[in-house]
Formats: sequence, C-alpha cells, structure tokens
Amino acid sequence: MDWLNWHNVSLVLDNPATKWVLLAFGLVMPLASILTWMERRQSAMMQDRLGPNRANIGPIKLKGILHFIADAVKMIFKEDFIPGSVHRGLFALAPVLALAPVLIAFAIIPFGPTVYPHELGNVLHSVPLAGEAPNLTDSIRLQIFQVDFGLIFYFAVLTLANYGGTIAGWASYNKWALLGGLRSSSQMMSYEVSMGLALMGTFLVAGSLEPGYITAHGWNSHYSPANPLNWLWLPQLPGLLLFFVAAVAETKRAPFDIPEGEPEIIGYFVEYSGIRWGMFFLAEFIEIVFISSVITVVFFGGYQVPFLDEDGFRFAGTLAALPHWAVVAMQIGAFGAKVFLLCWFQLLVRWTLPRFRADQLMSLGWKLLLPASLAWIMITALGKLILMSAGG
Amino acid sequence: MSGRVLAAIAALFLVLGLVAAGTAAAQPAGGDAPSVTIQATPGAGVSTASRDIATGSGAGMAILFWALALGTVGGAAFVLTRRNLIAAVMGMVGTFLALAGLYMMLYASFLAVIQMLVYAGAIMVLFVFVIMVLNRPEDEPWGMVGLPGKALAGLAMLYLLVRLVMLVWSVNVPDTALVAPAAVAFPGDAAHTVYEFGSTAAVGTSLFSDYLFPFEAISILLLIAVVGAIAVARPLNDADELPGAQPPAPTGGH
Amino acid sequence: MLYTRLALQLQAFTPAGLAIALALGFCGLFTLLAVAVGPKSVNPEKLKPFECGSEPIGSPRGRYSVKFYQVAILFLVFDIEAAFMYPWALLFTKLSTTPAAGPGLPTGVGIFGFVEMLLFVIVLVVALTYVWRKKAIGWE
Repeated sequence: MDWLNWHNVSLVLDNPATKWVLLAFGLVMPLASILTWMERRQSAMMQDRLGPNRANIGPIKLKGILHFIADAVKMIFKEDFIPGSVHRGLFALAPVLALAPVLIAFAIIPFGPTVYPHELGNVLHSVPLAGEAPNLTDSIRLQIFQVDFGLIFYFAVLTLANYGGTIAGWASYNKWALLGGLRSSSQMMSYEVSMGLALMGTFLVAGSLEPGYITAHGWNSHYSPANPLNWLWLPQLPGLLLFFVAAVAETKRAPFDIPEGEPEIIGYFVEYSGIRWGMFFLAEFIEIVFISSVITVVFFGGYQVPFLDEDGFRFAGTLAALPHWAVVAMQIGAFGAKVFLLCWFQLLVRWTLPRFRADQLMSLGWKLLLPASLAWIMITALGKLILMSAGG
Repeated sequence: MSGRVLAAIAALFLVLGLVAAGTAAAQPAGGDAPSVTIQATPGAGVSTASRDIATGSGAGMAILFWALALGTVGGAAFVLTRRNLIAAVMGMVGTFLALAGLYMMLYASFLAVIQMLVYAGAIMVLFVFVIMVLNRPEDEPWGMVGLPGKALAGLAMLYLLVRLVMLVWSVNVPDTALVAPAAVAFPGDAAHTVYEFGSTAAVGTSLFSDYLFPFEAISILLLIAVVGAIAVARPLNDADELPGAQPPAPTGGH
Repeated sequence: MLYTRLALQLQAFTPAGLAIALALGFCGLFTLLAVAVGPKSVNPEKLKPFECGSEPIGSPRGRYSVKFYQVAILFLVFDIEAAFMYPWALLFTKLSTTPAAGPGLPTGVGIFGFVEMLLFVIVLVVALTYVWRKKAIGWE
C-alpha cells in the first residue's frame, strides 16, 4: 500500500478532469435533477395541488423525488424521432450547442477553498506558530480553471450557447420552431449585453475578473473575507439586481419564457423528442444552477461561511479553533447551500410572476437594464474615486 | 459542381500556405544568427527549453500548432464546401475557435477569449440572423460558368498562390520569435507592477497609454455602425412607417 | 522540464481544454444514446413538420422581420463596448492614481480613467438614444 499516500491521491484529485467529473456528477447534475422535481412539487404547493408523488422503487417513494430517475430512463428509451425534412447534421448539433457551454463554463467556478491534505487533522493557523511550519504541499484547489480573465470566459462560452436554440429552430424545418429560435436568440442577445455590464461594477470594486480572487478577498481588505459585510452584495446591490434579472431572462424561463412558451406558443424544440429534447431541458436546469453559482461566487462570498476563517470561527477577537477538514467541509457545504437557496428563489420567481410580452421583453432589456447598468458602472467608478481620494 | 472543385482548390492552397508557414517557423534561424541568449521571462535564467521552443523542436508545441492549424483550415474548407449556409457558418465558428487557440499559443490570452466572445459569438450570430432573415434558397451561389469563368478563377487562384508563397518566403522568423515578449508595466506606476504580456491588464495598459486615441475613436466607429444598421434596415417607402401599416407576413416575435 | 513561459501558459489552459473535451464527450454520449437506444418506427405522416395536425402551408424558409437583424447589430456593438470595459475595470485603480509629487510623498488621485471611459460611454449612449428614437428597439 505504498502508493496510497497523500501525494498520489492529490495528484489524482488535483487533476482538472477529476475535478470536472466530481463537480458535474457530484453537484451540478444531482442539483439540476432534483430541481426538475422540486419545480413541479413547488408549483403544486403554490397552486394547491399535489404534484408528482407516484414514482417509486418498491415501497420507496421519497415524496416523488424518484420522478427524476423515471424521467431520465423514459427519455433515454423513448423513440428518437427525426422528421423527414430536417437538416440532420445541424439537428444533432443544436442540443450539443445548448448543453455543452453550460457544462464548460462551470470550470471557472471555485466550489471550495484550497485543501491542504497533510494538514487535514490540524488547525490551519492564519499566522503559523513558531517551530511548526504547516506542510502545504500537494494542495488541491477546488476550482478547475483559474485565469486572469475569469468571468469573461463565462461570457464567451455563453455566447456560443446562443446557437443552440437558433440552430434547433432552423434545422427543424418548421415555421414555428424557426420563429421560436429567432425569439430565443434575440432575447438571449438582448440580455447578454446587460449581464456583462451589470457585473462590471463588481470588477471595478474587487479589482479582478477572477471569481476565485473575488471570493477569497471580498471588496475591502480591512475585513476578513468571511465577513458577510465584505461580500460584494453590499456595495453592489443594484448590480446584483440588474444581473439577476438579466440572468433569469438568459435562462429563457418564466417570466421570460417567450422562446419556449411550452404549452401555448410553440418553441424552438417542438420537433425534438427523447434524450435530445432532454438535453435542452437539462441545459435549462443546469443554467439555473450555474447562474446561482455565479451570483454566489461574485456577490455572496462563494464558499465563505460567515465569520469562519481558515483556522475556525472568529467573533469579536475570540477564536473557536477548528481543524482544517471541518473548515473545508463547512465551506463546501456553504457553497452548496447558497447555490441551492438561489435556485429555489428562481423557482419562486418563475411561479409568481406572469409572462412578459415580446415587446415588453425587448423594452426591459434595451431601455431599462442597459442604460441602468451603464449608469451604475459610472456611479461605481465615481464612488471608487471618491473613496480613493478620501484615503480608502 | 465547379463551385465545389474551386472550393477544394482554395482549401488546398490554404493548407499549402500554412505548411509553408509552419516549416518556416520550425526552421532554425540559419547560420547567420549568432547564438543569442534568450531571456524567457524577466529575471529567469536562460534555459535550453526556451531554445527548444524557439527553434520549433518542442514536440508538444508542434502537435498543438498543427492540430489548431488543421482546425482552422478544416473549418474554412468546411465553409467553402457547404451548400447550406447555416452549416457553413458553423464551420466558420470552428475556424474562429481554432484561431483563438493559435492566439493563445502566441501569448495573447486576452485576445483569445475576446476572439471567442466577439467573433465566434457575436459576429457569427449576426451572420446566422442575416441568413435566417433573408432566407436565400439553398442552391448554388451565383458564379460565372463555362470555360471563361473557370479560366478566370484559375488565374485568380494562381495569383493568390504566388502572393502567398512570396509572403511566406519573405518572412524571416527570428530565433526569439516564440519567446514571450517582455512583461508590461503601467507608465508612471510607482509600484512598478508588471503584467504578463497578453494578459487582460497588459492589454489595458497599452490601451490606456499608447492607444488612447484609437480607443476613443472606436466609440465613434461603433456609433457609425449603429447608424448604418438602422439606415440599411429602413423601410423603402415612408408609407410603411405609418402607424397601423400591416407588416409583411410572416413577422416573428408577436 | 519545459517550464518556460509558453509551457506554463499552455499548462494554465489545459483545464479549459479538458473541460471542453469532457463536456463535449458527455453530450456526444447523450447523442449516441439517442441514436442507439429506443425504438424506431417511421411513417409518412410522422415525417411531416409538426403543426398540430394541420397540413403545413408555405415553406418555413420565408423572410422574417428585419428587427431581428437590428437586435443582432446592437448586440455586437455593445458586446464590443463591454470587451473594452473589462481591462478598464481591472486597471481602474492604477488609472486613477497619479504619481507622487516627490520621493516620500503619497500618490494622488486623478480622474484620467474615469473621464476616458465617460467619453466612451457618452458616445455609445448617443447611439442608444438614436436607435431608441428610431424605434429600432422596443418592438411596439
């Protein structure tokens, strides 16, 4: 068992491919799958219905949670039906273009702190004690892709997701699908502009585009990054609101679901069936998880637990020391919990607000969100100048 | 089918051009170049590895370059040989993505991601929209047919080939070509923070010092683009602009 | 050991490449499942475009409103604007710091970065106002 040591384990765990698999199949897919059930169950509660509750494996029902497994199995074994006059290559490409970008963009999300495997059992003192230097080798960073342009990578990959709906509509050779694709693309473009600009204020305040840096530093170096007042929601509340609205519109869900309008106006995936349709569906739910992750990381301190520094809880100068493993576990848990709460909030929005008309949608994007985010950028810059000249 | 044949010839020329560029890049810089010491990064010592890369003998780099070059040319060939315009646009997206990879190999990481954002994303979506809105039938594009047409196309191709070869041969790749350019410092910065060449901050440093006027001029250019877009899409007669006028069916989005 | 700048840079981008490969592989697996699993039965009625049972009238390759094109152009313009803003936001502190008057003195605060971006934004707001007045956005 010589080979089983922390060095080799961290070589495997620190591999980007391992991290991607862990993130995708450990957090993103399960959460997205649970959301498909949660959405139906929550809407049922809000509308005084029962909702899905029948799927079972023998006597195990779990209040219907098993429905997502049943859905997945059903989608895989359904007929993959392709109409006669479609462009087959593009027809097959469209769901891939919808799903792959969201899975790629997760690479920049820091879903936990850096783990030091040799120190797991010890308290990781922020100022190392004399005589016992911590062994920080073989560290594992819980972020797949760290690069100085950080969130621009997300916007770049997301633009490619534009093609999914448009190409699906075109390849289907169906008037309604094509109109749905055009609606989808024009809506995504209208709101993507505001998404990038709404986050510009946070980049100004944090002085970085890298989500890991923003999480680890907060906006004010005088406070601990674990202090909730040091998270960016405080100085950037208007930015948060603008980004949230634009991001929900980007997911093409109610109240912005004109591209699909599942039951009434026909959407771009009308000709899709089986697992290909499932890919569009999955992409939509993963996008909910992704947007929650971005908001968590940028505005709500990411994996930070309030007042939990890397050596333990710290209130008003007193320290309740905790070993490294406990801190790491709590921080990963905190990331999951924040993302989950924001997903839940998006479902709540979906089942509360009525749908926008197409013209209202365009007006909101171009006449309200865009000027407002431009104005907010300049206000933030001015505020930062004033703080700087005040010696901040 | 003459369109397809011509397209294949054009793709072949592109491949030839890239092969020439690749061999030129891989050639050691000849005997006239003195054995210069290459400073890979400021402060770092001279390493033989950086010489390996500079002379093109790094096998991994070569494989990556050729893979990306193949992606670029393959995407372009795909564009030329497609009849379906949307499929052609997808090929072009592939070309742009491979180009982003080549930028990355040239240390221009910020440019690479902007290439993805602006070219592969925004500009190609515009192409898709124009194709969808205009909806030309999926037939052979307009072209000269018969012997005169082919002769003219052949001459044009020959001219292009000659110019390409001349261009590639005239490029003298210095020994230090593949070593990263020096890091950039912000002018007047007391702290002397240096930014790696090609990073977001380094691009910003150039933008707000040496290229300040072009930066401001770009806003005017964008304004002109907007005015142009509105002018191009104006209705032909003013009567169409009257309220209550029926738009030609089918319109989308309502 | 190829620890030169280029090797380091490529190393830094390996995770992105792996994520792209894995995501595409995952989607490819789904597509493969779609092709390989599940029953296949076709008949002429099923092969028609789905229009709720009506016979399709006209071709789906008609012409569509030019408004979509205008949206795409505007998106392009403001996307490029955002691309220029990212480095500005990153460097804003540096752009607003003026050199110290002498050795030992504190650095000052200047409005250079703010004014440059303000000019840039104003021109684009003019563009936005123009399309607003021309009713190219809003779709009333």
